[in-house]
Amino acid sequence: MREGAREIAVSAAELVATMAALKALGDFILFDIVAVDRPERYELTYRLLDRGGEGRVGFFTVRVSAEKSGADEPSLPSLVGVWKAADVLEREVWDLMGIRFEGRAGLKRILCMDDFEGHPLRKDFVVRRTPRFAEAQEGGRP
Amino acid sequence: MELAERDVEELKNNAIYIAFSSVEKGLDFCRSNSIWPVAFGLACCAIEMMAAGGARYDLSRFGFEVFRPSPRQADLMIVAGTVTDKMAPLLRRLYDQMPEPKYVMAMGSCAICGGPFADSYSVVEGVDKIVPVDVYVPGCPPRPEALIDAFLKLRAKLRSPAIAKAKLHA
Repeated sequence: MREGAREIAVSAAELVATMAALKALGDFILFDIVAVDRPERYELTYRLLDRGGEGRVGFFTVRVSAEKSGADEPSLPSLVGVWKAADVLEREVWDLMGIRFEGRAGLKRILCMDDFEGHPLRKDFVVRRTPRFAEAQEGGRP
Repeated sequence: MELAERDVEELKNNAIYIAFSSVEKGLDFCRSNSIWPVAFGLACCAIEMMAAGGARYDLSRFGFEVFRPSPRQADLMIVAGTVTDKMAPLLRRLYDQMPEPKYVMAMGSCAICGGPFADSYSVVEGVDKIVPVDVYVPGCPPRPEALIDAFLKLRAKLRSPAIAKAKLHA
């Protein structure tokens, strides 16, 4: 595999099994999860750090797509059962891009405020000034 | 009366001079020469703040160098960097924990008005929306000289209430 493709695309149904198989090889650790907002779908890129090279490290990439099908939050299977590192990465992706990961607990905000509404890195997110802590304070300049 | 005049004469002969002042004035003078800031570095401005405290620019020449890790030991809060909505309640709490009299310095564009991130989904548009600010230090980030100048401005404000009472923006 190391000489062949550095990147594969899988369906959402195959994701967990693929990742478990890759982990079983022993050379990979989950390094990052990146979500991209395409016109028709969200494209997730799982970056695996490949420690199997002789004295070199490389990356192996797994791509998955989540269709935008009416539902506000498309869902994908969670990888927490395979890699614990997926915990905070999936929380970040959900916080900023609004992709729900099924089969895990504690999917709550990690970067934005707890009572934040919306997912700010989506293309259709509109920045609006809602009354927040700053405006509710006394003592600041009126 | 006669006694007082004789006393004054005697003091003059002995070359003794007396300056009259109020206790408050003396306290202001002491306070203005030993401002202790609480270290509140939030972004890159903190690097310039550290440089101002370091040996090359040496803020301690004026007696301002004692950066405190606790708000309860500090007179001044230097907000050096971008304040996010998530940080805002904590900044306000730290400000409330500082003993009176207390002062705030908004260092850099971000602390003054949100800077380049003002249109963002998570940034407070100026720390003066949360706490009252005494000195604004413009720059992105301001140089250590600018921060030292801001300290001297604050010192002048502490010493002369006329500056503090002046309604500059009225």
